[in-house]
Amino acid sequence: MILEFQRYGRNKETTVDSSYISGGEYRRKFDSIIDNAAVSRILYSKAKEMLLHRSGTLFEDMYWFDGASGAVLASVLDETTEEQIGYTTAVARAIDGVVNLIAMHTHPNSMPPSIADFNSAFRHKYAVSIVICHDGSVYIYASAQEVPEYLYKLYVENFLRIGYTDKEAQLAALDKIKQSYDIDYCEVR
Amino acid sequence: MKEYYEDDRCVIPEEIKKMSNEELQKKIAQFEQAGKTHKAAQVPYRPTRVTLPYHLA
Repeated sequence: MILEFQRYGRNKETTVDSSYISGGEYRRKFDSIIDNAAVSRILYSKAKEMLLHRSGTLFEDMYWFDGASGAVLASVLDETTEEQIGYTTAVARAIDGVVNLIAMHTHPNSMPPSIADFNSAFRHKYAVSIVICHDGSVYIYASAQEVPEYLYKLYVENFLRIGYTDKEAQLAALDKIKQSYDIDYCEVR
Repeated sequence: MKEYYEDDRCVIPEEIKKMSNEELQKKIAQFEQAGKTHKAAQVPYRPTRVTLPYHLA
């Protein structure tokens, strides 16, 4: 265990508060995402599993679910590149053409959904996507069109220059993008 | 085998970092205009709204 900690450079910033994610407040966030108790229980269970697995690292995990039944269609739990998810041929095959697809992945730095996340949600026709952050925050998002990544980065830079933090700048950039593009997101409270 | 990666890092390109405030605002305005044109050209317009709880069709 100690060796694993050292190998992956575990750090406090991305360490998950296991008490919080095991508690009622966190579980209720999943109850409020979807009006299907069985599916929300599965989402919560897998969210907890992913967070504990990746606690203290910058690696991400991801699951794809059938939104009607909660069945796991695919997963990536062995990513070796930080802050990225690699789509394998097997994943692409498993999610191709599925209606009511729910995608859920972790964000170690606890940032909101990235613009790559929105574009991926659009390209793969996810019904809804969920980002679970290592700090316990949860975001849901959806996209009905491709968004220019360059514009998003222009907005982020603009907000950084006026003193926003990285997270504030990314949230403000998403709000600006929402005004012109067909995307939506919200933090689950 | 990995087909491709979805990168969650927000890395601002050097060319954006080097822009003056005026250049930055001008570039944003250009993209916003292009976005409005693109949005207006979409038929039919399909608004996306995320509401809680999420009701799957």
